[in-house]
Amino acid sequence: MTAVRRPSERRPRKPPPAAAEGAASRIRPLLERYCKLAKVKLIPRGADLYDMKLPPAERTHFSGRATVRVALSLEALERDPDAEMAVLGGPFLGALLEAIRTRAGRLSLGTISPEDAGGRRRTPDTELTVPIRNGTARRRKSALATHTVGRLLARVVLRAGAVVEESVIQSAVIDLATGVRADDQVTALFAELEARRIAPADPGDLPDAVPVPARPPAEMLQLLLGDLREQSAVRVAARQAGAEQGVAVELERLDRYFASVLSDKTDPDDVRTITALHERRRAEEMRRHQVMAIVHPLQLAQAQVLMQRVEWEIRSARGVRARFAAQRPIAGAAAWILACPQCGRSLAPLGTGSPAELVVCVHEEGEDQLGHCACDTCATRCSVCASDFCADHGIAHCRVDEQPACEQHARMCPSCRMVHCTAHEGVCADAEGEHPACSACLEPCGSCGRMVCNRHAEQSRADAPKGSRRLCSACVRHCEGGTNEPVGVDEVAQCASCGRSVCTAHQAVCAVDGQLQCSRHLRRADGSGRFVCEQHRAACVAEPEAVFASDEVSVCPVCGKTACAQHFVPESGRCVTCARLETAEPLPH
Amino acid sequence: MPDSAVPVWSVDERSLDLFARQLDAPSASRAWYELRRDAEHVALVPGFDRLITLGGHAIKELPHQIDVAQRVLRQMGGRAILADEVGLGKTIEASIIYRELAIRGLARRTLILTPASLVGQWQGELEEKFFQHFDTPTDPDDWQRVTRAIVSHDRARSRRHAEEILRHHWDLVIVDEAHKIKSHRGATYKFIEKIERDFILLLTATPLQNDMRELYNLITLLRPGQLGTWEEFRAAHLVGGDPRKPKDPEALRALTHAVMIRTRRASVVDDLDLPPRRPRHPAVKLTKAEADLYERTTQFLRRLYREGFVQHEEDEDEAEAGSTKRRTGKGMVQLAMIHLRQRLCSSAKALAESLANLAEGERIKPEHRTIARQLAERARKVKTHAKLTVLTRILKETPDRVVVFSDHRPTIELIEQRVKALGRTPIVYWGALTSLERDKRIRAFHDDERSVLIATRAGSEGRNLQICNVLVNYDLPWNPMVIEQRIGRVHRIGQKREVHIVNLAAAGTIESYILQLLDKKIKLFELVVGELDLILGEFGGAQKFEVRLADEWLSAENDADFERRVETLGLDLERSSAAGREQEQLNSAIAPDDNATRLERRFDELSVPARLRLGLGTSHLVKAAGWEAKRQRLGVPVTELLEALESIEPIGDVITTQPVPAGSHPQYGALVRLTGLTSSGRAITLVAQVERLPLALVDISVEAA
Repeated sequence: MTAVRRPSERRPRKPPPAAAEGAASRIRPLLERYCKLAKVKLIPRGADLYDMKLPPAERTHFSGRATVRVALSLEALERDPDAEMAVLGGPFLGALLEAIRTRAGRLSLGTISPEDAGGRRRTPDTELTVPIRNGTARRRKSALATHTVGRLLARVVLRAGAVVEESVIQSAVIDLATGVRADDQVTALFAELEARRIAPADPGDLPDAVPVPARPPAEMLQLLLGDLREQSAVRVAARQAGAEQGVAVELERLDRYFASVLSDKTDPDDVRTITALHERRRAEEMRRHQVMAIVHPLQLAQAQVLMQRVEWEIRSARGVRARFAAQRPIAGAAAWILACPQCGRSLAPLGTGSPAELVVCVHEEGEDQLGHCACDTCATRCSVCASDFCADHGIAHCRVDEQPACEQHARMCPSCRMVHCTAHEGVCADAEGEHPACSACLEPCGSCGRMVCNRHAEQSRADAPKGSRRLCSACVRHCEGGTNEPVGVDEVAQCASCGRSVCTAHQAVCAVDGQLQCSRHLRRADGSGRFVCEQHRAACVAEPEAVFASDEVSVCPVCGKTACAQHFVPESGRCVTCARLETAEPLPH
Repeated sequence: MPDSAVPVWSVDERSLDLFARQLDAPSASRAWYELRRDAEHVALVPGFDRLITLGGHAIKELPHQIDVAQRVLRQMGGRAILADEVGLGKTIEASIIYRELAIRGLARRTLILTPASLVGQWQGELEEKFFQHFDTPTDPDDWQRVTRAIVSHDRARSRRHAEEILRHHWDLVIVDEAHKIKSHRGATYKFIEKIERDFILLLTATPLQNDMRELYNLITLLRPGQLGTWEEFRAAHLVGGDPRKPKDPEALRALTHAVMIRTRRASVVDDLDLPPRRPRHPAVKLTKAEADLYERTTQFLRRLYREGFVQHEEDEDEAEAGSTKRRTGKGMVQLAMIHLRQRLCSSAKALAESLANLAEGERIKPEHRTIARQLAERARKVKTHAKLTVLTRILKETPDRVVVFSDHRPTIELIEQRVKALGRTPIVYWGALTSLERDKRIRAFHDDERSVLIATRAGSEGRNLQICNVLVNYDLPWNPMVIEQRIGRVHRIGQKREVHIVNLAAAGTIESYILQLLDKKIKLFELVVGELDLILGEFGGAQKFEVRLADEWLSAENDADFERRVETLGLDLERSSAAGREQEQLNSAIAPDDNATRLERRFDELSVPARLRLGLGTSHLVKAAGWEAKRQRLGVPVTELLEALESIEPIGDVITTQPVPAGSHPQYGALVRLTGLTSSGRAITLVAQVERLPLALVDISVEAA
């Protein structure tokens, strides 16, 4: 209907549609630069048409092909329909981006020159002290150190409803060793270095300094992502407000509609169907309006900075030892940085009545049993043993009482898979073996009274003979006379025919022998309507399809077959057929 | 606050993994680092303010389609009934919406539900125009791996398929021919209701066919509660006694406005810019031998129809005792019979083959077999073909490319020989070719100006042949949709020349009656794409036409009787056509206004940029000579024009710049000049007449902002 593969020879030469041109103008330089860097030969095959000759190392990004023909406009594609169109969202551009993305995740910019920073070697501040709670601090040493600072480039995709917003943003420059944001001067120098407006320091000119390792990648990333999150807060809040408004309108419409529809429904099946539909549509709306921010970390640019560093040994009241360091860049008026080693939050400058204090986490590791510190904002006190612990070595909320617990007193419940403290732990007496569980998951069995966790308990149905009860696995049975629904062991009996459990609602007795049977093995006799089991079912010779109880038929002594009362002649003691034959005249010889 | 509004921060696992690995690698060079950074910016996807995939489709920018896609994405949250009148490209609109959602990661799982007859067409269009591959699952297990699927309504709702489909969450569901699921008690309706989805598009030109309940059902399926409960809706909007008439169309339009878009053909007809179709029916007089063969075969087929051509197995066993021939099933004989019917007017060569095949069938009665053999022999002796003679004349008169359609291979061979004999290149195109070979042959057709493409039905599906403007229907299929598809290959957007449709129907044959019905009753050769559905809707569709025509022809006592029957058939077609038109009007009455209507109704209240924005692509806006060419030359796509106009007056906002007088045009009168900015940073200046309808665009210029 609307395809435009126009005959090229009839068309005057004109530029391609601008949308394609716009895309091509952005993609073409990308393609050319990639080819140059990856040593790919780009051979023109006419206007906007190229052959890419790929070296073996690059072929993996392009489905193993040695040559790829690329069209940068629809006209070029029209000329060669076998070419691949370089268009946003198309497979070729996808492959090209993937090829580029496998590279250049990290760039090292070198060391920021102390001269550029106007730096001078300064003597440690003799007044420097660390604020510590419940412990003592002893200064160990001061030295010159090298820290790594870095900036993360990331793509942030913000989704809410039918709205998507993508942006590439960069984090602040962060000291990757301490986790604190670099000061303005270091940030400015970093930007200058990145833009090549200043040169990195010559390693030969730098004084000896101890390199302080950057934090482990996972921690480092958390710090950088946290910064990106802060930066996006305003945009996210705007989207969130829109989403809240949108979902409220949609849910109100749905609720009003389904409430009206339900108001005149009485059939339980109808009610169930409509309620399910209502729930489905509600869930969809909630999901549609869910604000989602997805971060794609892309690139990290790093530089080294010379720092003055002072180290203390801290000992808690419980005797746990930890080390803590403060630093300041070799730069003009840079202040000392005392940052929480855990969250990177800066402790308030010394001597200003800092509200933040350091605590020593209860966790010790390594041969020298060294602990670590955290600030009092990110550390918590255990509700069981009253020790301080950092976020990595305990739980913030026990699922039962919401109180914190250190790692020694924190547990995970195998039933609900949530964490709790040892103060709220009990034992599940399941038949397969006892095990601990949180007290929220434990309740007595409705039949035997033993404490069992939710994982090992089952709720019997409301229409079970004794109503709905929470039963342990030892006390639960599945009624095989009905729909296999769970019922209590005290509500079932065994079927005499198949031995399966049947609840009182689905059992009956055979009218002939009085044995208990499940409904599967009972049928009503067609004449009398009595229940008979398979064993006591009989047929009448005159009505082979009809069901009779075995005590409702008699055996004909002549033919040996059974007959019901209607087809049996008591006078002759035979079935009607044999009785009729008896009265018939004998055949002539 | 609902949970949905709490933002969920997450880190993309794949990017994280790649990033973590790269952290351990040595530092990159600056050149790579900067290339990567720039690449990440190129790969960024903007919001729906801009449609970004248009440049990568093989479709022409039709302003109304772009407008529909933008409105669905920006104002309707990706849930809408696309109810454009037939032929305006609902499929294209839905596909643009899909692509825009997909590129933003919002349509990773997409399900297209369509009538079985359109599955292939959807697949072809998406592949050919949007470069998107969709699967067509046939096995329920396929749903485990499929994320983009096209499936028929019936298959989708079958138990095993339905279970699998409902197991998944679908980002986007597109329901084509949505009027087919109008009943809320129907299985398909209930099934679609159960599908978990974020976005849904219902495509139908007639959301209302017989009853307002149908419209209510569709809108409720899309957005429950939009029209209240049925009782509320009935009380508020229905006139007692007439289920098709709304009490207050204006009030209903206000409600449907939020969920439904309908563009009328009359609004955009100028923009489709299709050249006229010129049907030609040259006289074809069968040779004596051909006429005799036709007469005898017709009698034979009617006899078969009356007497039943399949003999019972026992009889056959008796008649053919000891035969070692392979047994052909009843289905095979019936197939041969249909073939025979179709080939009757194609060529004696094709007919001979089919008659011989029929004679080979075991379950045909012996007396019929004898006749079939005799007729086959007679057909083989025909050496002069009247149609071929006419075709020869046409080819001699037409030095340009020609497409000749025939569904029968022996006929194609005949034509191929004749084309060769005329010194032109025959390019045969049929279904047995591999896709590579098909591409090659189409390219050969493009490359050779004098070539003749001889194609079967396979050539009428999915291939665009606008390069050529002469089409010959060497034989006329009994199904008008097949003819429409053939014409659609040539008469489509991009075709600049008049399209000549040459129908070869020999006088006095069934084909001449078919042609009469197509030309006079259905008016097939005057229709725009898609109108056939509208006309045959009440009748029961194109397939029904074929079946009924065959029944009437075979059961007719003689030609006079058949003529009478054709007349009745023609009346039914006229009735169906009238009903279709009436339905179209009815739907337009309840549907929200399209841009042209809005412009017309609210002209005085609208600002200048709003007038132009609504007018773009409608019949209310004319373009001065050379304007369109200049726009093309400057490389300004329609999307940028819309963006520029929107930048002057953001929708729902105040005007930021006022147009300035720009003199007068001898034809259009007083002009204004207004400049808007595009997101790519260009300033587009338009000079236009905006005081009355039709608006006129007189000049366009572009500057880098």
